[in-house]
Amino acid sequence: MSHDDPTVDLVLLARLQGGADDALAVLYDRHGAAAYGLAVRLTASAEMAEEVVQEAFLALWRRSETYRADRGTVRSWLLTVVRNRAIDAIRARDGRPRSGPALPRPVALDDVILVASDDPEAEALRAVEGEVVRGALAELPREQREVVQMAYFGGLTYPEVAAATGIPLGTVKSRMRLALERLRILVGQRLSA
Amino acid sequence: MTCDELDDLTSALALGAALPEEVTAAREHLASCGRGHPDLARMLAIAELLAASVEPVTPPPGLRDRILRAARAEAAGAPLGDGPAAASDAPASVATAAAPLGPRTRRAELPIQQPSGAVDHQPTAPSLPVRGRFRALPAWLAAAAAVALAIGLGAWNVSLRRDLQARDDQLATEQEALAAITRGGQLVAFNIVGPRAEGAHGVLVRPTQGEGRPVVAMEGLARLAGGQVYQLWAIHGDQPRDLGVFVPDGSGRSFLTVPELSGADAVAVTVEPRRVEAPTSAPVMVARLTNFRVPDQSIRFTRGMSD
Repeated sequence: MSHDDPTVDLVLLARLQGGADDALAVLYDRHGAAAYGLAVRLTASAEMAEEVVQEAFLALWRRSETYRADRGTVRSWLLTVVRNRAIDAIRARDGRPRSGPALPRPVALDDVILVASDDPEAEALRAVEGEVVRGALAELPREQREVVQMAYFGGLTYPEVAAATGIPLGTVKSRMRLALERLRILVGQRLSA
Repeated sequence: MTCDELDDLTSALALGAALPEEVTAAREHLASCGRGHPDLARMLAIAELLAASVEPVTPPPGLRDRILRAARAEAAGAPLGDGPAAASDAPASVATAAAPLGPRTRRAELPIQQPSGAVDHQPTAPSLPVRGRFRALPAWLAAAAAVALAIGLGAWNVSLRRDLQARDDQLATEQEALAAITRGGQLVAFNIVGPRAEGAHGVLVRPTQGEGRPVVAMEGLARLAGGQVYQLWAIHGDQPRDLGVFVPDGSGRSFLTVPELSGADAVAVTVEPRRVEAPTSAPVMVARLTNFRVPDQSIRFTRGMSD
C-alpha cells in the first residue's frame, strides 16, 4: 500500500520544509485516518481527537526539520506525537496531568523519543497489518496485555500501573518487557503462518 | 542518567510509560551516549505495532481544511490582513528569501545564499502552485532584507545570478516532483554509497506516461563551498552521461529534472566548479538504481475527498 511507503513521505517532507502546504495536504491524506483512529481510540472523544490530530499535523508543519529519516518513518513519528498529545489531553481531562501546568501547551516534536533505527527488524515490522497485531495482542497472556493496555492506551506511567495493580515496580517493568517481546514473537508467528 | 539506568527503563520508554523527567534524562543521555542502545531501538520498533493495531478512522470532513488553513495562516507570519494578495506586491523577490524571523524560519544565512528569485518566476504550467512561506511576507521585513541585500550586492552579483538560475530550475522541478508524486508515479529508491553518502537519501520519481520528466529528489546533501555545484551523471558501463547540476537548499534538499534514465546502471554525483562535460574528479556519491520493494511498480494515491 502506498501509504506505507516511507520514501514518498521523505519526499513530501522535503516539500514541506520548503513551505509547500500542498505537501501537508498529501501527508494528511496519507496518514490522517491512522492519526484520527488512534486519537479516537485513546481519547474516546471525537472532539478531542480532532484537536489532537490538528495539533500533530501542525507540529509537523512547524518543526519538520527535526525529523531525521534514519530514525523511523514519518508515519511512526506522527503517530507517536498523536499518542503523546492524546495522553496529555486525557490526563488533563481526568485531573492528573503528567507534568507542569495544564493544557494547552504547544506540541514539541522533541517529545518524541527516537533512536537511530539500527534494528534490522524495524522495517519488516512496519509492513505489518493492523489486524495481525490485534490478533497477536489478543493472544498475549492476560497480565501482559493488561500492562500494555494501561500503559500504552491508558497513558499510565509505570509507577501508576504498579499502584493500580498492586504489583511491584520491578515486576511492572519486566512485565512490560515480556509483553513487547511476546508481541513480537506472536506477530512473527502470524506472519509466517 | 547512566546507560544501565536507561536500559532498566527500556520497555517503559518504548511504551511511553516512563516519567517525564526520565524521558528528558533519557533523551539527553541518548544525545551524547556513544554506546548506542539497540535494545531500545528494538523495543520502540515493537511498540510502533501498537499504534498500527488501531483501525484507521476517516476523520470528519472539515478537519482537513481547518488544518491547512491554520498552516497557511502560520506560514504567512504576522497577519497584515492582506493574505495571499500581498505576495504579488512583495518587493524585490530576492529579498523575500531573507526571512530571519517568524515561526517558519530556520535559516540564518545571508539572503544571497537563499535566493528565491523564482517567486517571481512561477511557471504557469503546474496545477499545483507553490505556496508557503515566501508568499505573504510582512512588508517591513522584506524592506529590511532588501537593504541588507543591497549592501552586499556588488561583490556577489555573478554568483547571485547563477544561484538564481539554479534556484529557478530547482523550484520548477520541485513543482514537477510534487505534481508527479500526487498524480501517481513510479518510485525508484537509491542506495547511495560514497564519501558524502552519509545521511543522503534519494529517490527517482518517474511519472506515469506523458505527464512530465523524471525527477531526482535528494536529501541530506552537504552544502558546497564557493560556487561549486553537484553534477549528476548517468553511468552506462563505465561511461558517464551528464544529467545536470543541482545545488541543495539550506536544508540539504534538491530536486533535479533529468532525461530518461533507462539503460543506466547507476548514477553518480561529482563536485564540480561549474557544469562540465566530463567529471573532473571521482564521484562523491554513487547509487545503483534499485527498484523499490513493492512488486507493483505503479504507486498511485489520490487527494482527499474534500478537494
